[in-house]
Amino acid sequence: MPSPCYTLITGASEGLGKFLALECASRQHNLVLTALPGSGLRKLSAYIQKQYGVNVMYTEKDLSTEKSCYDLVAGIRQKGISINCLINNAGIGGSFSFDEKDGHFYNRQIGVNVIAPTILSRLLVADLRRHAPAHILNISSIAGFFALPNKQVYSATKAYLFRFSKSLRTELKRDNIHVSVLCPGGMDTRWELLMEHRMHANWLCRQSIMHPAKVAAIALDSMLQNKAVIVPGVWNKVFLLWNRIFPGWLKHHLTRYQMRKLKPILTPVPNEPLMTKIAV
Amino acid sequence: MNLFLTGATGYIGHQLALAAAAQGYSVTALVRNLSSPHLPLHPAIRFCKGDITEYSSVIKAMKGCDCAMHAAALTQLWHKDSSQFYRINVMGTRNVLEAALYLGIEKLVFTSSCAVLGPSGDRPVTEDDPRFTPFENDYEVSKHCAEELVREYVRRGLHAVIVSPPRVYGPGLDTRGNPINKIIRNTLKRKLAFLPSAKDVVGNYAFIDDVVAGHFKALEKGESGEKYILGGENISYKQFFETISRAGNQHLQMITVPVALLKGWSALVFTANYLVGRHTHLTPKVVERLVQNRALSCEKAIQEINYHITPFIHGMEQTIHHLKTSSHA
Repeated sequence: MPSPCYTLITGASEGLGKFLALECASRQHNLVLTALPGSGLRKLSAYIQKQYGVNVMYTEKDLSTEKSCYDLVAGIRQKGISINCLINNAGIGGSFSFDEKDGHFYNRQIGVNVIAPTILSRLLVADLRRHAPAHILNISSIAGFFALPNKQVYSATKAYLFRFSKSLRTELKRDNIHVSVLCPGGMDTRWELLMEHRMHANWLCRQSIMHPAKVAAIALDSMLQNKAVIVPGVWNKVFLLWNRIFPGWLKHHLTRYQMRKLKPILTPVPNEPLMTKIAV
Repeated sequence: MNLFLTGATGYIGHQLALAAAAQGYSVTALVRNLSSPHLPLHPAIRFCKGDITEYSSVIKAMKGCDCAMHAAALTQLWHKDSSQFYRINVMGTRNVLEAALYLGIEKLVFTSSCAVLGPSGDRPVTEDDPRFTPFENDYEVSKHCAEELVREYVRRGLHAVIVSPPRVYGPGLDTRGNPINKIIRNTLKRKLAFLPSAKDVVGNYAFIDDVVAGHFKALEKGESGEKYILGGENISYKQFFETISRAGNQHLQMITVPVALLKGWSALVFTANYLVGRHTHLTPKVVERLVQNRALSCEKAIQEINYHITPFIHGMEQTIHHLKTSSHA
């Protein structure tokens, strides 16, 4: 018998978000899924409902604006749905030199990666408290630990999520709300990335790349064990260990070398530059 | 109706060309070699020299066509230069899609592969099932990427349908894209069947005539952006060889080979060939793939485009008849 509470997952239509949704459903969580309009959310919701027998609600929202976050929560309240687990997964990634994108893009990126998880946590904290024990899972990245050229804003937003999660965790502990943060490395999600990984990533990089289904399973297991920081995969753990013990100048050279090696050489679609090069 | 076709010198493409010509289409086939022994010769089939990896040759050949079928691909599971999979299967597909969009082609059918779908669990895999396991080789990745490209062009306004055949058997060219006919022939010749110890592992085998008819049904009735599995019956290795025996009216000595031995042997053959600069495509990884359950559901194609499955025994009888009467037998 599925529990009457729901898990809210943002950015659930593809990549890690989709597998988090499937993983939650396989554990009999009811779901509220949200993603960009036109991203196939309706089909996915119907599929999950049919295969796993849980209730699935979906709502198409662009979370880059503050208003859409309020609308999302208002919609959930209106339907009388109670949330006991919030997974802030939506994010905008990619690799580009700082002047390649304009202020509008960075505003959107910070909106989705930083503002939306903050506001959603704030809006839902009373709900979560009422339905405790409850969980918040924020999707950061190991990119949040490194100084990465061409991922300036991205890595900073992920560092924010890491610190935000750890701080909020200590604060909400007494309410029996467990805040966890997931820090995955590279994943085979979008097809361009997949091709990129197969063709150009070096050995070390290829070893660390994980399938999103595996990451989702680890994430859910660890979240339900109330872990604070979740780093999936051996190699990602090794990277973080190196980060802790190597001196600054060595780290600087290593990351610069890694990022240069990963410079893309592909242009699969004419008139349409590759958006995402490699998701660290 | 003018049909643009790629892959006409391959196993499926060859049959597609002949079937299209028989149905009254005027076919323009893009081929790399105008003197290939595999050309489907028919008055209604015109050949254009070109290569899907060269955009200019694709657009030149496609001009004046109403619809298109893209069946060309590097179909083996292993190549010494793995970038060839991406150059041919992804960039090549990109060129075909780009030309089709530019020229306003009404409908396009892309021949993908069930290799993109993962192994099956407790029920047959459908088009909607997400893949829970990583891709195992560059062929699978390249076909997945090509499918995603098709969906991207559908969003840009192209009418395109994806069809996914599994292991295909039946009368046709004796090419690399057609290893099953070879297995059938060798089995009957030697009166000996090498049965992997994983004999209850289920695979899906599609009869070539069904696959070809399915392509035309997808062209006619398929919904743009949708994928249709054009498969056959789900059968185990044991049933596979038993059916060969029955259809060929031939008693077969069944020898069970442990999978580990099969893997070791393939590693040995692969290495020996590699050392003398030759390449076999049966790597231990491919063997591993062959002993996973790969049951499929063709329900969607049956319901939505009126796809028909020939019973395996009937398909096998026709195949064996063909193999016995053709010069290769």
